[in-house]
Amino acid sequence: MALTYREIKPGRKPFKRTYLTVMLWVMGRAVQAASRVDREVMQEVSELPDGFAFALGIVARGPHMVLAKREDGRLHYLGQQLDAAESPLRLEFKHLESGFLTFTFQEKTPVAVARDRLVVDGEAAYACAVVRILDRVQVYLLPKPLAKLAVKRYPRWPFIMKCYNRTRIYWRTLLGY
Amino acid sequence: MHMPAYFEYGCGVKIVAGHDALEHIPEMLARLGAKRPLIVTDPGVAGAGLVDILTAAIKDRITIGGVEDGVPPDSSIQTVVAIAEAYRRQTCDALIAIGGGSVLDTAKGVNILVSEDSDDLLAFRGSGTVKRPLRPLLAVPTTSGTGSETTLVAVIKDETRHRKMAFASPFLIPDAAVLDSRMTLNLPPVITASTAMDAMTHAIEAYTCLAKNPLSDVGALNAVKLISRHLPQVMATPEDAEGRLALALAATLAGMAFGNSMVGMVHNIGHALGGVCGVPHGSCMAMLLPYGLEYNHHKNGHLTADLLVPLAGADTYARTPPERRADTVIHMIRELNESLHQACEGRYPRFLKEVRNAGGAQAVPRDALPRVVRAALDDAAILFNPEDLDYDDYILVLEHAWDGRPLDRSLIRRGP
Amino acid sequence: MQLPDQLEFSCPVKLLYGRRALEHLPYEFGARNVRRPLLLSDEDAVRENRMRALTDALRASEIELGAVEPPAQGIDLDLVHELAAIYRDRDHDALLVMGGGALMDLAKLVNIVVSTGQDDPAGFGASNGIAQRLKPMALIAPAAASGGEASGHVKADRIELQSIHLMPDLAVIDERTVGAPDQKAVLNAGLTALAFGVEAMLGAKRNPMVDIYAANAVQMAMAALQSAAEMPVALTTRMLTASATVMAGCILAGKAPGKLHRLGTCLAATGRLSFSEALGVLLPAAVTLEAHKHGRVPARLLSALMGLERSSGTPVGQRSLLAATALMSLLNDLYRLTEGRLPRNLRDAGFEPDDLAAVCAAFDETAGDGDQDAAMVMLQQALDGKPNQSGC
Ligand SMILES: [Fe+2]
Repeated sequence: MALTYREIKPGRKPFKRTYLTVMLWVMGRAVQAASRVDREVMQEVSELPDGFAFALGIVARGPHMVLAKREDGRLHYLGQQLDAAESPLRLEFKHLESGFLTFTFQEKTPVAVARDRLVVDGEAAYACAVVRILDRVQVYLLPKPLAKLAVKRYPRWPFIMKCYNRTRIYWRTLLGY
Repeated sequence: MHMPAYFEYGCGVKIVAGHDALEHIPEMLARLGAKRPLIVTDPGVAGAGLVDILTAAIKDRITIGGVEDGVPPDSSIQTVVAIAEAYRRQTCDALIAIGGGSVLDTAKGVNILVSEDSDDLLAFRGSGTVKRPLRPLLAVPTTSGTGSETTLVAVIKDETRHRKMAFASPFLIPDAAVLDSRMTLNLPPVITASTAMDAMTHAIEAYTCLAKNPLSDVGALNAVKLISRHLPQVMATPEDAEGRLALALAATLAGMAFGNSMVGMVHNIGHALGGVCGVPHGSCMAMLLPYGLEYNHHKNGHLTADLLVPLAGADTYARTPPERRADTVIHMIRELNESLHQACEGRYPRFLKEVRNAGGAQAVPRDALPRVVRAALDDAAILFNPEDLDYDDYILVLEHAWDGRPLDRSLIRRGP
Repeated sequence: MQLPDQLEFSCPVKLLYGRRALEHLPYEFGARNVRRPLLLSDEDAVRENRMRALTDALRASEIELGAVEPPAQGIDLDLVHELAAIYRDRDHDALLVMGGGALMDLAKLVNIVVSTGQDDPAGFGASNGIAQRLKPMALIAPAAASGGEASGHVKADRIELQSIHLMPDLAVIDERTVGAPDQKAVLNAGLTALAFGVEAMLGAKRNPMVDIYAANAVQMAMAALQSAAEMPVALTTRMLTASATVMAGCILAGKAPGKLHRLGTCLAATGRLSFSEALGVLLPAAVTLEAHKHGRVPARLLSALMGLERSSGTPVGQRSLLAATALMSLLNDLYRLTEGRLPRNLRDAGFEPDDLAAVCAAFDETAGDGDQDAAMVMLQQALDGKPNQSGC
């Protein structure tokens, strides 16, 4: 009996990877911007220890956004390489595809968590703070219908504050300061 | 049947339960290829004579390599390393953990070190770092509550860095959980009641929170049914071995449910209350459970309503109009708390203001609530709660729970 | 719920169900230190695009796959050894099975050989002879399943083995690999899973742990069977069928099959109806008989069969009648749907009263545990599909 044997080597998913790379870049710079603009995010960041770093991305060698708190008390975007910071808190999707579902708003973030699509590696207390920061940034970054898909309870913020901060965060995200 | 678009379910632990389940341990270990187990426990369990019951049940048919009974209330790296040392010195080849969560977590840590032949526990922290089968580990729970015998995680404290470290791997699941009615037969009433309410909360939160799935749902409903039927009986007749075994099974069922479907705000606030004010975990669960259901009502009231079946029976469920079922469930849990309070002659607290510490002083002063909230904001159980809570929401819930008033639902903020 | 005094339960299977489930495989493999699984798939996998879905899911991961398509016809030891040789020579560290029935049996035998080094799996004896953990095994479950895939049983080529260690570590049910819409396969798989579930929930003292799988086998199979009329069979129907059969395997686990299962095997051995059809026609009788013996049918069984809202108002005394009626009306619907191809009772399958004694005698040989009276009662009731209130 002759059985045919085939080897299937892992390949890549260039399109989805590129999409996620861009989204994580935008998100990373927006978090950096929000830590300079939004009072609540500043408050959250001030309670994190100095040198604290976290990464959001895809497990193994997938794209990430890496941020760290510097002496100025703000978060700094350090790029997409996991080794940009020393042992960061990691929030990682188990698969490129899971990250894609969330970043294309097909699956709410809390739902992705509930569905076991994300792994958290590091101190749980800091993970909670990071989730709150990310929630707030998404409300700024996204139009309301999309942001409602990303957070459990869409907040009622004063209209003026939201518009003003949103504009500032957009500009800072683009320009990276 | 609630089918989420995606879910995972598994429980790798073998369950052996009975009035003489301990007697099965030698053959279970033999099947796992072990001849010389090390018994790991804490001073309380040893002092209560439970280790003696265990050794008497097995010593004729297996050589016990040693008994390590010094596990502290919070498992620590130091203890783990010391017990691993003892394991090697006494050439053991398996572990029996008898006790609660910290004993089992310690034994899991020891198992990592002795199986991987290492002294550096830190190297194995995180999720998925332990990648191969470890030595045989049997868990013998001595309370019917935590359900930790079914989980694949261990939390161990790093005293030098004042951090709690988590270890998670499918290989950390014990080979078996041995539930024996003799282990809980002499539990004092307050412990019996509050640990059972911890298990009840595991089941109810698993059923009503975001990560529910149809398998954990059935386990959760069965657990609620067993607890609501047997807890009052056991309170009235503490030597009821059947009832004790039923509660032990319920706790394990609830553990399997929340091990897969997680918990929500009741555990979230409860962890904080335990950390800040030292209130026992089970008491926190019992006091906060009605408030968790009330706060989430606008999101999951239809799920809370289903709990009327295991709590009160199908007839009552059918007789109660659908829109009143969730409220009836919440009311029944308050009544259960009330009756347990009476059965324990007042030593089972119903509200936060009633909790006393060992010295008799109020354990949760009202001005401690803001500190509790800050701790709750750092607890990850909230991720699986249907509704968000910010500082003001926590204060709202805690103030009601402190006074013992039902939550005023008109004050709960909802999204636009 | 009445509890047994002694209880043992074990189910090592982790279920991954639903949207993008395949994409969770690399993570689960990683946690078990698996890098190079050997895939056994059936011959339709490529044509039905299931192969592409799997390789797509493994892309962007570190998993390297070796793939073989063993021939569909019977399992023999030569084939087992040939596959074991591939596994060893190509340095694989786990087995991945995409497909059901005999393919999974084959994989279980290969696993015994590669894990224990013993060339003859039959050497382990029929029952629980395997003491060690085997290599990691994952099942990508189809809707067209036999119900035994996730269990610890193997039956092939004169070999019959049971062991908890033969159960897969992972069972994956994904929309892209659940298989083509084949109504007959869905009906067969659904009926088998339903019967496994119902049987596990009957009996005076239930096991509340097995109940988790049993109640789900029943409610998932009922939902699938009730929507199997749709053509082509809907995706959700196939997903439910696949998971109901995984539940069935978890119920059986490494235990010996129950009475209903054995009687079904004897009926199927006559060649007049399939194993699943036999289980189907026996089900209402099994419920009635059990209720007669123990006085009641569990409320959970009734709610799994009919839903909580419809079943909750039923008094205890009427539960068995209602459960049997629900099962009979399901059989009637399926009879109509298949234009009479699926039997409602033994007469539909061509049995006459005189045929039953021989089946009963065959049943007695399988166990000899004095259950033949109960078997005869079940067969007589199943002959016309009439509910028998007296029980005898
Ligand atoms: Fe708890």
